[in-house]
Amino acid sequence: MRILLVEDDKIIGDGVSQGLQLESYAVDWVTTVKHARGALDLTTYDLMILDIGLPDGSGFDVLDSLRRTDGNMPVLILTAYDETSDKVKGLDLGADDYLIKPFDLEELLARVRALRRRASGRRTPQLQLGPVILIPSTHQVTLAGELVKVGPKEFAILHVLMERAGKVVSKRQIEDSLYGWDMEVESNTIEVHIHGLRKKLGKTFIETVRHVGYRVATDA
Amino acid sequence: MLNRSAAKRRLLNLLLATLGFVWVATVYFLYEHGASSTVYLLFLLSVVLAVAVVGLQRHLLPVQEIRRINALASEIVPGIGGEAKAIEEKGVPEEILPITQAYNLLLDYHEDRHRQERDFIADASHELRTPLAGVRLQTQIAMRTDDAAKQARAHKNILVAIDRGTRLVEQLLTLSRLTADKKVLNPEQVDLRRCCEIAVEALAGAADAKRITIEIDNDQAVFTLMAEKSSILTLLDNLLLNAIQFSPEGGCVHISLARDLGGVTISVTDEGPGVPEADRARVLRRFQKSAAGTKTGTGLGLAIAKRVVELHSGDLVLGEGTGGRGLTVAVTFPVGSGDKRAC
Repeated sequence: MRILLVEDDKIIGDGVSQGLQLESYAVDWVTTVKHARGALDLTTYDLMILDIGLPDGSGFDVLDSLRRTDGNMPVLILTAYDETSDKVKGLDLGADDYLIKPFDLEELLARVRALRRRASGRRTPQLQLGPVILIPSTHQVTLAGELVKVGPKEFAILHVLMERAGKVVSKRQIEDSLYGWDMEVESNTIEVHIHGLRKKLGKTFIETVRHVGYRVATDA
Repeated sequence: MLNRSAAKRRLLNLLLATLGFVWVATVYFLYEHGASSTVYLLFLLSVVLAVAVVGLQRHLLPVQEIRRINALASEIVPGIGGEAKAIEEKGVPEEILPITQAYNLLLDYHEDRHRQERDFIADASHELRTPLAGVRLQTQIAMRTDDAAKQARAHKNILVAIDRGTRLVEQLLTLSRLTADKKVLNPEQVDLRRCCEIAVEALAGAADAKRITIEIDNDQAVFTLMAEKSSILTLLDNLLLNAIQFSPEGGCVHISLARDLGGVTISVTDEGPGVPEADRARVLRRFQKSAAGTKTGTGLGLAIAKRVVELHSGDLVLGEGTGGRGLTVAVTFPVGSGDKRAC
């Protein structure tokens, strides 16, 4: 999953970005309204974390213009403004959730998971396809009730594929959800991780759609 | 109301005094001429009359008004420690209207002060959240990761956030002290050039970190001013720190000292992004940052500088830097008879 983080405070921005990356999310971090708009034009994001007080304007403006073109991307507002009117304004402009600084990293991550879940139309916190269960909050994967040890990148790839079960996900899409701008992508990494997952979950769970990408079947 | 009855009372008193005088004169005259029984009778009569006059006076006293004043007083007393309310001026006796109005003005003033203090505390706590949020977040990062490099980076960030919070607290205290002061407390002859040198030395570390050169005019003239030295140093510290923060790496900050009829002017010019004219009044208010700001400042520097200048009856003007680039903060202090330019 790829997240756009809009936060002008260096320490908080760095902390959120690190925290999300430790959870294997791809994060692009910008510090101004201008750069946020640029990033939204260039890249498709699964979620945006948005600060309100930005040096060249208000995060509300970013949200407002986003909602004119994209009604679906979950937006979480991150702000030091605890005035009720600001919360109301943010939610009314189309934000899905908000957190007030200082906040707990665990809570932020839980809200990100919840927003992701809601965006994919699920209510249950875990994803299940046949014998495979993926639990986002604990980063655990089980196969027929047995815990399977998967690495963070493997987990992230499996999460993307299971979320879009039945659909083909291209290698590019997987890469986009794993690596932010400042991360170097090794060309064969995706294949290596898919190989690793197949070894752990059985050869047929993830199928290769030649020249297009990968897919897990809904009736796996 | 009261004024009419008061006029009546004054008139009555005058009348009574005249009557009394005539009465005493008559009694004395009769006594001198030996009419003793008449005198005795008249004396009795005068006692009766005196009692009647006192009674009449009491009756004519503005009891109603005094009751009203007492009622006003009992309206005011609960305001001590409770919620003070302005006195409704309608229906207040004209004689005490000026006091009522003065009371209401005083109340307004204190309410205003109180509101400012409340806003200040709200702003301050709001501003403190950012460094605290940073500390919390980075601590959690350090706890979550096993990567030593990431931990070290988080620890460094925690220190940066703590330093920022500390600076903010110091700035808040400085501003709060300066706001409480009504005048310059310990004025002395202050050598402004020397102050500039001290301020520059104190910030050498911050300047070096960005390879910024700070130069002071090489004019050798000495400028002295009756001022509070510590406040002048605070002023310079804030102006220079702002200049350093906004300057690009390797930039130059220029301090110049000048004197004309208007007084002594210290100007600090940087090569940063400057402040657009429309924003200049705003950035002087506390916690208002320039759009070009990177949020590393506390947002209090210029507010503190402005307060120091106000206390010294001076003037602070923001303008463009050299060649339309950067920002110049020009501070002018009026020079009284006690100040002189020694060469």
